[in-house]
Amino acid sequence: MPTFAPKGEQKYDFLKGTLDLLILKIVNHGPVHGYAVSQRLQQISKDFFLIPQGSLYPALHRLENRGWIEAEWKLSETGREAKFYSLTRKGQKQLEAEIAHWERFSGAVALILRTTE
Amino acid sequence: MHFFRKRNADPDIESELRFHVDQQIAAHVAAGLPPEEARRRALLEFGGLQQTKESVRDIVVFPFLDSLLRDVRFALRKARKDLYFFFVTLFTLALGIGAATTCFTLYYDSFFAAFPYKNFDRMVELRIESISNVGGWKGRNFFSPVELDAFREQSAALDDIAASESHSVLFDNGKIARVIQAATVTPNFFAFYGVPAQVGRVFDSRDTTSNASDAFVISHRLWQTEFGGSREILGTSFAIDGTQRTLLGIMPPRFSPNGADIWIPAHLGSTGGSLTGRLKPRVTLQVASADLDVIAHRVQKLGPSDTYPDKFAVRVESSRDAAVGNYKKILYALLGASFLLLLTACCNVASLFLARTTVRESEIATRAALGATKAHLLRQLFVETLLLASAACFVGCALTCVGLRLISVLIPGAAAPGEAPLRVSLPALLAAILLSLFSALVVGLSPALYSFDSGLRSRLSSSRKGAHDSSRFATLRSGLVVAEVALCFLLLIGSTVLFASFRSLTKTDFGFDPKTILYVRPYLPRAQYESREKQNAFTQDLLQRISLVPGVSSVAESMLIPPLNWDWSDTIIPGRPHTERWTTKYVICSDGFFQTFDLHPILGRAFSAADVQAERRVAVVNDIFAKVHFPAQNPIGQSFKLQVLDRSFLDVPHDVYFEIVGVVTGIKSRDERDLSWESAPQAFIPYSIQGFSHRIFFARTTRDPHQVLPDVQREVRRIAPGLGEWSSGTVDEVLSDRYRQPRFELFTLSAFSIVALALAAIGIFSVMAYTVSLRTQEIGVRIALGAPRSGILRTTLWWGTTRVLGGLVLGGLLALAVSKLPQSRLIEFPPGDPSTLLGVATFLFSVGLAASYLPARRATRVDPVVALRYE
Repeated sequence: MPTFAPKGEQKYDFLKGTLDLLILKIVNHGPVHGYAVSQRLQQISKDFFLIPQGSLYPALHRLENRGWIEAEWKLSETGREAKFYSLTRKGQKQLEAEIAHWERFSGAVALILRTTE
Repeated sequence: MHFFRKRNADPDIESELRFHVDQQIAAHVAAGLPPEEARRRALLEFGGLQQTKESVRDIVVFPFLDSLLRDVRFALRKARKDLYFFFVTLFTLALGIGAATTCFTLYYDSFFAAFPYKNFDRMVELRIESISNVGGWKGRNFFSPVELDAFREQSAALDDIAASESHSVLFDNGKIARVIQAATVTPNFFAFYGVPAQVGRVFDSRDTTSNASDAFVISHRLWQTEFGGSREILGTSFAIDGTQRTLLGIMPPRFSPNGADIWIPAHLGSTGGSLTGRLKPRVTLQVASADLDVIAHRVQKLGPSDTYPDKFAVRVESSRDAAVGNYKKILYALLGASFLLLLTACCNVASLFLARTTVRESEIATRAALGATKAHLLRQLFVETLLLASAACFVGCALTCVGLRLISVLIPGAAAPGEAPLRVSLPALLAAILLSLFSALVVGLSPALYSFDSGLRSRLSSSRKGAHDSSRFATLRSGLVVAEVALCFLLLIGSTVLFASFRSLTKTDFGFDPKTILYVRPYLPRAQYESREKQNAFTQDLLQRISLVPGVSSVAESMLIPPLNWDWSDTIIPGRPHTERWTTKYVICSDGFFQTFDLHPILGRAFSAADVQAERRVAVVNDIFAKVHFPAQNPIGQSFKLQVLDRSFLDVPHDVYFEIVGVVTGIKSRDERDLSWESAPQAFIPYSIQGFSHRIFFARTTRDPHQVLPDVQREVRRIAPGLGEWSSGTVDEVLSDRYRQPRFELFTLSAFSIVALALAAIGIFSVMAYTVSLRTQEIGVRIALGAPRSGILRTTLWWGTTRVLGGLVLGGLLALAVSKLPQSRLIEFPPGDPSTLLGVATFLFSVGLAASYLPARRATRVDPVVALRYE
């Protein structure tokens, strides 16, 4: 299980499905290889997420198996061949659905937090 | 182990991960770390390169098939671990599937695959049928050449039409003359059926020249029995009814229209007989019937009208219905019974599976907790069921082969169409596979789904406690046992009723002993015995000679073999007009008939040898005839007419009134279709007034009839050397042959109900045993707290007893409902007398009781110390 680790604080379980959502979101921005995905996850979340590669790559391949993302071997910026992932039409739909779901979920959680204060 | 692997997946993963690590190293180097350190840190950060590779590979390889294989291996391991369970379920299902497939094959082969003829679906049989309710004869299924020509030329509904006139011939194979069933057929006959000869050739429309009409074609069966399948005989000439004919060809095995073995060509326009037509495409039976009706009425106006009933119509029946009409009833009964059996088997296995699912709940819950998804768990159960299904399918097919062989031995020859192949065919295999899949899904997955529906989560904590857990499935389990008992009861009732009727059929006291009466039916070729006088002389002579044979106490002649074969006629009594049908069963016989068949005089006298010889128009009637028609008068001296004898083509003086000279006790007769004593009016008239070539000679013997028979046969040959013989034997053998069909029904249904009984017993036993094992701790506690063991036994038995009783009630209600169905008359399903039902119920109840007693007794033996150790 990947964890998100605010440094020095308690570790929480990564919410199920969140990793898929984040990967889809990042891949949505264009063909991108695995290393870049992990870099971007860290950068964007300001080092909040530390995704072990042991989780990232299985996740990428799982998404590929499901037909949400597709892969292509291309020359990378460093001139080496790398496997680039991009979102499929099916993945696009999945991303929208997951975003909608996430918003409903987090909205509901926020609502509970607010009202029980 | 991975069996299905993308061939290039490994290097792909390798270089993808390598790229990642290299990028990371580069990043660290760019940040100022020395290369060695950068590499070390990158690998560290990546965390287990090999492990990641493995887990990616797990996803990349065909995950479904791979884990399916894992499921299969798991299922096999499970089966090995619980062999008892596996074999009981396998055997039970296989029995159900085997029975159902056998019956389906029987059904399919007789209805659909039976007839290897061209466009068989459009083939029809024609019949002239009386449409008035009263009087007259019912109709005929033979047609004159004029009618045949008219139909052929004028019908808009028929494509083609073939006629065949069935008759028997004396066939001399060079060594011995034998009576063979033959048919004189129109030249288009073989083309009509669209079947070429297997050896040689058939005759066709071109062969209407005189020498070709001397040809004949034989069946495969005759070829085998008479000539041992030798090809040499082709083109040889044989004497058929004294005429030399050349053998032209031999038909393939399954060619058997009308059951003939020899086909002789007829000239166009010279033969009539039974007509088989082929409808034009998309012409319905009704349309054809209307079309032919018009033509028949037109023909009627041209010729003598007495060959038609007063009001008539042409009935067109599909050849398939005509061929399998009577047989249908058995088939449907069998299909029904086998379906019930399959249902019983399913109930049984479902309850076993349910029991095991409950036991396995903790396993399932553990696996769910460890991350198995619901879909995966279901798939696992599905694979286990599928494994069972395929094994059951395999064994079921093997059972089908055995069953079909058994059935082909047992099946009454006349019942199944001669063309039916009776073998395991592709549709039968498909049926078996579908049935296995269906039943496996029903029995394996329904308990699984049921248990899933009740929630997976709470399982882990409660599953081993047992007692309260069982309440969740109690209803379903009870329901299954009840259903099983009910189905079994239904089958048992069916076979008991059948058994009772079979018993009363075969144990009938006919008033004479059929074992002591032998019969010989000589074949009188038309050419030699064309006149009534010649036939009568022959009859008289032969009767005289047989009576002198040692061991013969009395002799008789009759047209049919009593007591089950009858002719019947409408009856006319002078000065007694009537509108309802007066049916009389009549026997044309010699004077010795009364003594031979033990018919005792009540009033007047039996007709005498002198009456017969003088061809006096006298008759003897039975007491019922006298009671029905002359309730207040003395029947002696009254006269009556049998209307059927007025038919123009019968060789009898027409418009004959018979004078009653005596009243006797009638022939007691029961029919396999109607078990009540026949109480119809009967009449006996002298044989000498008619000239039918049907003459059967009976001899009552004082010693073993089979020892007397050769002497009788020798007498026949002495009168007419070279005379063929239709058949001979004892009356008892004729009866036994007639009982083949009911015996077949009885055997199959009994086999089904015995299997069902065994299944029900196993089912009750397993469910009870399972329930007891669930309650072990509870029982242990009870015993530890001082509950008497007899009480434990009682409460445990109570569960089984109530379920069995419930099943009996349900089965009884079902039986009642079935007996109310109009179709149930087809399969002889009267509710029977209550004592029989009660007997069957008691029997089934005791079996149920015994099946629940064994586990219940085990419950009382529970050692509280052992039971509580697990608490």
